Amino acid sequence: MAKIGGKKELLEKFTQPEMMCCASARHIPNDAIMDIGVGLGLVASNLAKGVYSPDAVFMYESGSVDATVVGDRLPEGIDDSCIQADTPCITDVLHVLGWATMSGRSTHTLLGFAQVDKFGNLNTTCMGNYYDPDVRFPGSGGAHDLGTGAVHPILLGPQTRRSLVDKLDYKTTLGYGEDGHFRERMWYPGKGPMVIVTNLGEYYPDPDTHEFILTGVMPYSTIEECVENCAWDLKVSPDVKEVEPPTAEETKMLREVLDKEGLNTGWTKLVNK
Amino acid sequence: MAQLKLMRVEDAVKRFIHTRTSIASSGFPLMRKPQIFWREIIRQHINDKMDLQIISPGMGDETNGYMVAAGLVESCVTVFISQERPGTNPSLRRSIETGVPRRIRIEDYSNLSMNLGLAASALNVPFMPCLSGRWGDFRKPGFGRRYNEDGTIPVHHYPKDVIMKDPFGSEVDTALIQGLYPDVSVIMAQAADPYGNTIVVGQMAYDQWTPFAARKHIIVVADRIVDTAACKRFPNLTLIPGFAVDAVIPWYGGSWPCNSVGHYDEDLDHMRETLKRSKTREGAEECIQDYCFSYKDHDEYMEMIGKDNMENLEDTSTKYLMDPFREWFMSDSEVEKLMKEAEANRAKAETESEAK
Repeated sequence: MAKIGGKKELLEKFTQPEMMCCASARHIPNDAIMDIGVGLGLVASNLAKGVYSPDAVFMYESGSVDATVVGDRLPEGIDDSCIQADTPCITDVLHVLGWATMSGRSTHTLLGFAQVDKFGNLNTTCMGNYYDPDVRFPGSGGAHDLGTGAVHPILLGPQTRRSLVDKLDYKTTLGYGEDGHFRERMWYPGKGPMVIVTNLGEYYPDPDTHEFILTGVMPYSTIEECVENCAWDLKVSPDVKEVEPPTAEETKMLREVLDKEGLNTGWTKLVNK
Repeated sequence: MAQLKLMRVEDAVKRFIHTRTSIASSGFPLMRKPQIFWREIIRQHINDKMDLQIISPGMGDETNGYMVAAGLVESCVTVFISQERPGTNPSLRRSIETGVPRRIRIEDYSNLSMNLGLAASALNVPFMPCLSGRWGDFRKPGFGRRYNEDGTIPVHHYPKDVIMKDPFGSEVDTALIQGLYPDVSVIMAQAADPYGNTIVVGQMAYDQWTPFAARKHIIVVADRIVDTAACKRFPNLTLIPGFAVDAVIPWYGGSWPCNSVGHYDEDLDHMRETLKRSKTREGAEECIQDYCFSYKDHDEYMEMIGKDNMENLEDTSTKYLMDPFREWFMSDSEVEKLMKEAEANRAKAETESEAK
């Protein structure tokens, strides 16, 4: 097997969040009907729209449907005024999350996480005891609904042993349940998470057990780093591949259009841009 | 003849907000929040033990943070305690993580399930079925339904939601989301007529249901007062019918620093500054002084926002959304005249009811 990853010098050319945006954007097809969240997922979604899937329909759960971003900045939230202008349909939470999402019309979504377990279940609520938490995070927002209804959620988050955990401190959003088969016991419009993208690697669920296994390594990362920074006993796919670094087109879109100041991806701090 | 609903913010807080009132709020973390109403609650009750309940999709905004930092909140029902990209509200975190100045009880929902809880109240049913909520820790014991003074729907604290198989024969399991019953809904709107007909444009978030979830009173804060002709011209954009509304508070800029599309954008610099200052308890208390107690009327409030700053925020890409309504905007003097008339009407009605 050729050596996979380990090209640390690449981190002088692009940042790990940039790599995460590119890797997740590549999973979004041109015919996607997408629920858009906040954070890095918002950048990644717009990167997909800018480079790979210009026809994707973007829905924001607070009401904007088929919204385009107006002006020269990314929205600061899903209810930012810049996605309420130049939008052909504006409605409400019940229509976007209730009708479009629970009917399975929403094909994709990007969900961030503070913790994820080996079956793709997410925690975005707290660390520690819910009633007396060590750290309180923002909460579900619409994530629980998107995990329930959107057909192919893409999960996006940083990887450490504290974020890829054996047991979640709080179960905010369903992946495949505690044993990997919860969705088979109850009817769900969503199929369960299609992929987890972290700063170190890409993980696909085993088709039978739904346990996430390492299938892709970021070019600067290694299989060993992915395994070390995962609290469950991570299995490695025999076909594990190196993820392509950001292309020139992706980088241009990220730096010249989506994140000019580097607020999300931190690219402006690079020495060798 | 339709009744004039105009009321000053200080009067509305005196009339409708009492100890243990449960208050639902319109909007979303950055959008259409009745901030001026929360500021007024703080102005009147900073030294009182209010034990208020707040039901709001986003608890992370500036004034909800102040409400918690001032110790006025006993519990909140929410889905999110962050102001999205500007960040999580440190006053909420301090209260939840360390109990300073007091530990608020928080009941977490998802956007869909919480919206349905409010819809249940509006439709006067005890619960709504939903596919969300069948898995995960949302089902941990809750407390949302604490109010039941008039005996309509029985209080039922535990469990927070339950799963029921479709009684009509399909095998579909459904989560039953219990109703959420605010006493009062406070709705930030772009415009309202003097009789309470309320116009909202832009994203609706929960607001097709939040006003109607109120068990007692619907209060509207309107950026602009318009002639009823505006509502008649675009009747489908009238969200709340006048008869249902108890008070219309005219206050341009009432949503600041959140946005009111068609009028002004969100003030992100202010959000970032106040979130940063609120990282310490002392900082939050200073912010409360600076942004709740530093004005005595609307003119001074606008000075607090800053003239240049406001002009910047008003240069919004959404401006065209309000254009159809502009010809019906009433002037400040017209509104003041009707306000006095509304106050005189209320005083007369109150004297008459006392006489009886």
